[in-house]
Amino acid sequence: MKVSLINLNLVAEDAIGTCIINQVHFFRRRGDDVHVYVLHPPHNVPTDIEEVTSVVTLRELIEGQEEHFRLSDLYIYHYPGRHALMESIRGIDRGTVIFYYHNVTPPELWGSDIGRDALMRDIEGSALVHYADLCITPSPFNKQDLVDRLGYAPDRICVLPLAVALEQFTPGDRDPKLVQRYELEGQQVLLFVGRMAGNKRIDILIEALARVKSQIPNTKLLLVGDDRSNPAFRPIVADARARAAELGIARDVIWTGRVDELPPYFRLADVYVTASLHEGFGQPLVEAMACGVPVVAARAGAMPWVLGDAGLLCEPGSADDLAEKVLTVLRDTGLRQTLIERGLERVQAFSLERYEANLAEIVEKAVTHTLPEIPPEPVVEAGREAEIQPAAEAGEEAQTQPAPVIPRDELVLSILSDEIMAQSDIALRGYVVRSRVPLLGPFIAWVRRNLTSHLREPYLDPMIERQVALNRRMAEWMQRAIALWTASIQRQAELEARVEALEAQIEALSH
Amino acid sequence: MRVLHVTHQYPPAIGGSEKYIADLSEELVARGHQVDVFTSRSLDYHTWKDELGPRERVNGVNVYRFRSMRRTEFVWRVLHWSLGKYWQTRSRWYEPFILFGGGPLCPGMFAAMLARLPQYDLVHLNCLVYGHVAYGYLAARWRQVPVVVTPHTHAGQEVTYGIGYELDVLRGSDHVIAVTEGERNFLLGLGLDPWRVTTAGNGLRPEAYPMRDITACRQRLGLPEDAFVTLFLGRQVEYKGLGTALEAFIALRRSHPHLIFLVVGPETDYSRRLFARHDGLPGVVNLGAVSDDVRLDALNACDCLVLPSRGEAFGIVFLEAWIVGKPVIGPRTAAVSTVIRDGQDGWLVPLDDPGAIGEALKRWISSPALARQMGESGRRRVLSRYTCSRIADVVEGIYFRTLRACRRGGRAKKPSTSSRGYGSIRSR
Repeated sequence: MKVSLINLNLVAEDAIGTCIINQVHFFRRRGDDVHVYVLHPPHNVPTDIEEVTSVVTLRELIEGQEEHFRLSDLYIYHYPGRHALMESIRGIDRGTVIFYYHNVTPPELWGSDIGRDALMRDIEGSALVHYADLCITPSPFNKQDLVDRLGYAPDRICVLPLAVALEQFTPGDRDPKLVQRYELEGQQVLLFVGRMAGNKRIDILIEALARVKSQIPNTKLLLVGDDRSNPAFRPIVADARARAAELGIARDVIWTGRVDELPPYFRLADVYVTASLHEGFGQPLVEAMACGVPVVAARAGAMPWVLGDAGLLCEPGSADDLAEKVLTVLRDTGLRQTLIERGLERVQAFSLERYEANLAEIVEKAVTHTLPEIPPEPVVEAGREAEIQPAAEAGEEAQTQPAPVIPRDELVLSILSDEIMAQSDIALRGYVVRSRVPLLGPFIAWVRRNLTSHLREPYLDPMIERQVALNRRMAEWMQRAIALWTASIQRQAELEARVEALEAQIEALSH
Repeated sequence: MRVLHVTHQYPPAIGGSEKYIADLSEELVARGHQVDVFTSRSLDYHTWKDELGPRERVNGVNVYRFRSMRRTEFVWRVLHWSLGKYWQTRSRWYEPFILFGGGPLCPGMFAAMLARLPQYDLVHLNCLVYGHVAYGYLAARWRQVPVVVTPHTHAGQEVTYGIGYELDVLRGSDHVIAVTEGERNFLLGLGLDPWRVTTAGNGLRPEAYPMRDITACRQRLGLPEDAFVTLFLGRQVEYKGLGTALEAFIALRRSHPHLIFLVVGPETDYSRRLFARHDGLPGVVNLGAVSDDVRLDALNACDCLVLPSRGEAFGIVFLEAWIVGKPVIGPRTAAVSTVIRDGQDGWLVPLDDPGAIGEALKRWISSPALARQMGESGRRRVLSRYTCSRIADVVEGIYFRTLRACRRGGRAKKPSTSSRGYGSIRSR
């Protein structure tokens, strides 16, 4: 299968870049021919990914200059905001189109006039989702956004949480070099990771730090993330710095800017804090949990869902509440330990393996044009954070899966199933046409071999495809029937054994 | 893309589904598509009388009108007889008679479709209840052109929407467009594949509803400046809930003498009888049928809209109230419940429950800020979701998805490069 992934850019460090790289690996392992199309040159990506990445213009895409794109069977359009390549979604006249919605910050939360128009366009542009057969988004919050704002059918939206590299984000000791560089020896560290945009509400973190410091003086706030690439960030950072100076805590707020490697920074933290008012997913929350850092976050966006009961939530916009929750975590070691343990269990729901398994299911259903069943979401209801449950219970709910029916003879079943599936596909090269009608079988075989492609493609191939689809469905039903049959035989054997045991018991009692 | 819209009537004929297809056609033309419309020459679906010319071009849309058989008294009787027999026996023998009685029967349209359909990438059939959908569908299938249908079904009226050939069209079409989520659920209940049913909604043009000064509007309508004005907007018929709204007003007026009940919409025998019973009731202002300008004044002059209707397939009047920032009270029916968000941009009330309407009104009377807030929320919702442009986004998307699906199944040709929708990129 030819797969095209389309996005504005490909930056290895950002969440969407990571997501695209994961997808390239996923499709490659499946044996698919995958290619990435971006508007801007890729940044910091591995060579093997760069090889399959093309920097293109909209014109090149729509005029069919990219053969792989023109002939793809599956198109995945990533939507970080409106970009020129998105417009090509209107003209896709073959294959299946998936819209990967990463959410857009609402302009009213942006906190600056610079770039607000672009956000308005991004919001408007999300209506392009209507051109897709299916939408994937990382959280139920985003799903609701699409349903409420655009009226997109909920059963066409699959929630697929982003994958986090859990092998990189692990608990560990503080890096002495970083401790020395930022003078963190003997300090409690509150960490925030993210770009310094208005919706992140850095100002609230600074206000909260001042309140925390009044109780625990040796506390610092570490702000890790881009604070200068976008002109809109500058006034926000300047205001925050001014406020910190006003509160007399300027030396306790550390701005690192963008960093190359995040895990050591997470390991510096005692608490991960965020006052963000809008998050479509909140990847740093998962990374913090994976590094064994308890999280305090605002009850906004997708964050309550991402955290489940593995973190504390505070009122959005309230520095007092945030500070209070941070103090609770810093002082109550039992709670802190509970949150860490729950976090470590929770992040298993965001593993790459789980992501790939769910993506495989969605892709399979999308290309066979059936509505996918929404993959299991790691759901823990929002609002449960206030009543901290015993650590042992956390995550169990998400892990619980209905026990599969185990047939008595799995080997026989799997051989039988494979055989049925193989026979169902009449489009396969080795298929032999069988018919009771004289000469019909050989005639069909002859037609298939000899009909010219301009006649075969429009007339014969669709018939064969339909027949294959029907056969596959039949094969699936037969598989299910076999599974039921073997399970019932097993059950019968169990019941017979039970009856025998009971009879023996009755006999023993009667004697 | 070259699209053929087939509809029973087209403006200047009046009606919700007529407006829907006209707005959609014009919006798609503005996006660079070629849209032709095949319709009848009629202005009145009661008679299907030929009143309009054979061809015109309206805002870039080519409208072709065909002669149709008149619906005489005899034809009506055939319709009633066959419908009765059909529901008694469920025999498909009666379906041709229903088709004959329903109309519009335009042999010219059928012939033209057979002859010209290969020119089009897709056919969009509008309004399932009329016969043009049946033979339009047949022609499209014969010529192997993908078919999209907007049925405008009412979930509560299976008698009209459950005829065998109508279900065949719904099940056989490549895509079905529902107007509300409630209608989509109804269609899925008929066994349609969820993959092929999409809710597109209904929309209006915000520029046609400018916000006006409330004081000036009230002066023009002769309403007191400090009154709390409740608007009823629609045909003054029983099923729209006029009686229930009036009852709620009478009960509330006793404790709130500054309340005004403003009624706008064509009068009927029912409304004349109703108001005759309450002759001389203070606070009731009935304007009857009015011009668009006065209608807009009424929308701007009111504090809220009340329409506890039993038979709204969508309720575009709610959008009209919201777009000028007024909150609404609507019925808790399947269709309207998916349009009004209870407590956010209006209140949903049980059917025939004046008490609930009174309670809802009291909350706004005691807290005008709440009313303003809910109206504003409704306005935002219309602008983000229920404009003609938004609906065209959805429908245009459906067209492309349908073409892709048909091509996968080998049932559609490849759209020509010039008509693949990129025109709209340049036009924006």
